[in-house]
Amino acid sequence: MTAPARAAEITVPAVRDLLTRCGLAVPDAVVQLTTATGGASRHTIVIDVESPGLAAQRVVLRAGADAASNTYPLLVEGQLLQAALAAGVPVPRLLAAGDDTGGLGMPFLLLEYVAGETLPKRLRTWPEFTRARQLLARQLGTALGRLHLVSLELVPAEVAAVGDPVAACRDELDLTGQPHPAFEIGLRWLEAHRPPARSAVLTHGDYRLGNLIIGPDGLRAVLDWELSAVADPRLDLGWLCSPSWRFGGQAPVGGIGEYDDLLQAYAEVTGVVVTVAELRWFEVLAVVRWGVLCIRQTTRHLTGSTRSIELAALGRRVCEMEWALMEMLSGARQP
Amino acid sequence: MTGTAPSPPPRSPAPPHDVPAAADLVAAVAEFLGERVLPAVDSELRYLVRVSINGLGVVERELTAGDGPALRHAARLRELGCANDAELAARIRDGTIDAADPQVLKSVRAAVRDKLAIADPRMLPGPGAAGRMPDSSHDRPARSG
Repeated sequence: MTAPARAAEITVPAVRDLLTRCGLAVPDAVVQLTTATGGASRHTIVIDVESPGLAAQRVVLRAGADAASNTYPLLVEGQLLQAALAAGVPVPRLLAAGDDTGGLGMPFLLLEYVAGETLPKRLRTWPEFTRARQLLARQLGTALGRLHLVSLELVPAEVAAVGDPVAACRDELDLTGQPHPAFEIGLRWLEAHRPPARSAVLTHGDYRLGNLIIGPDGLRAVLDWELSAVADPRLDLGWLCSPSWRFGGQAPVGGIGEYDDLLQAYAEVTGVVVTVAELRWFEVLAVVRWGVLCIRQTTRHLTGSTRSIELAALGRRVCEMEWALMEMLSGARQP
Repeated sequence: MTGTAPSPPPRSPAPPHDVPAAADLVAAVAEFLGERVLPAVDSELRYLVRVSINGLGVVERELTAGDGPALRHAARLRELGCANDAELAARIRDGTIDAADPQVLKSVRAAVRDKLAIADPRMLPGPGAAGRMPDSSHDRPARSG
């Protein structure tokens, strides 16, 4: 988004003061702020710091009041990042975190800046990512496997457990108040074809291209942990391979990689063998779930809570997910 | 300044309005955004301008399609014995309409196809279209973490 709204409290002096207190800048440092993403509640801001006599550095600030947020508290996100890092998942390192009641007046995380590309179309087509494209499916399988091995004892209590993902999806659809016969067909199909359950693990919740920083050498960092939950591990795998996240490509893993590479690497780390046939159910669920989330995003615009052309436009893209769903169910296009 | 792209024949305005018809007016706005605004803005704003142009394209196609899609949809619902989509959705959920019935699938599929023909016709298989799968984020601006 262009010049997304930044909380009034996040000013250059306030950020410089915060960095100084965290030992990341000196009081007369030159600080420049670039808003990367702005939401209704959470802000992501890239900070360039030039302290006299020190090398220039770049860090990332995540900040926002928890009360306005519809996910777990920001400091819990910091704990998740640390748990993921300790498990060997590439994530931005946490440099500092706190409630900062006396300074910014809101919880914050200061994170390492990870350079690289996030735009799926560039990753899929630019020559500089040729090697990354060859490596990515395996790297994604390995990273996800490591995340799924995180002991649930280390997962903060605030991170929700998803019981039945089909029921959760149906509840979300009901919250929109919009009738979608195609999604009802999808939900019935999901009910009728449930695979046997697997033990719940710490999932990322939005594991897909667009939320990954990738360099010429492949995966560098996994971002966007706000949908993290304790749930069936195959939810992450199915979401990653959903037709909704292939960005115009044909290959199942983000339009770039193959099932075998992803699932073999995942099995090598976890010992859990997931088959392509087993994944199909989770891909169908992913298409319905993304469609429902798009309706909810449009509702945010229509109810005036967040007026945005980007959110408004998503509503008319819901039929893309309905179409993908009908194609999958008719078997015309096997995932 | 005027655009140089060949224009489709103008559409008839809905009475009592004058030319341009609503669809042509919307197309003119989209053209302006594409030819003058898009090249003049930074990369972040460019993404939102593209989203805006796409949105106007949806409106133009919906206006041009007239009442054909609505009439076809009413006929489909009648065949299934439902007053509207809300009733159809509720009856699929409670099982009084079988979600696996080929006629139901065919009907719902046709409705989705009609929506998609307006929202993003490039996604439909057929002449001139690859039948591509959804591309859920278009060209979002880069982020950093």
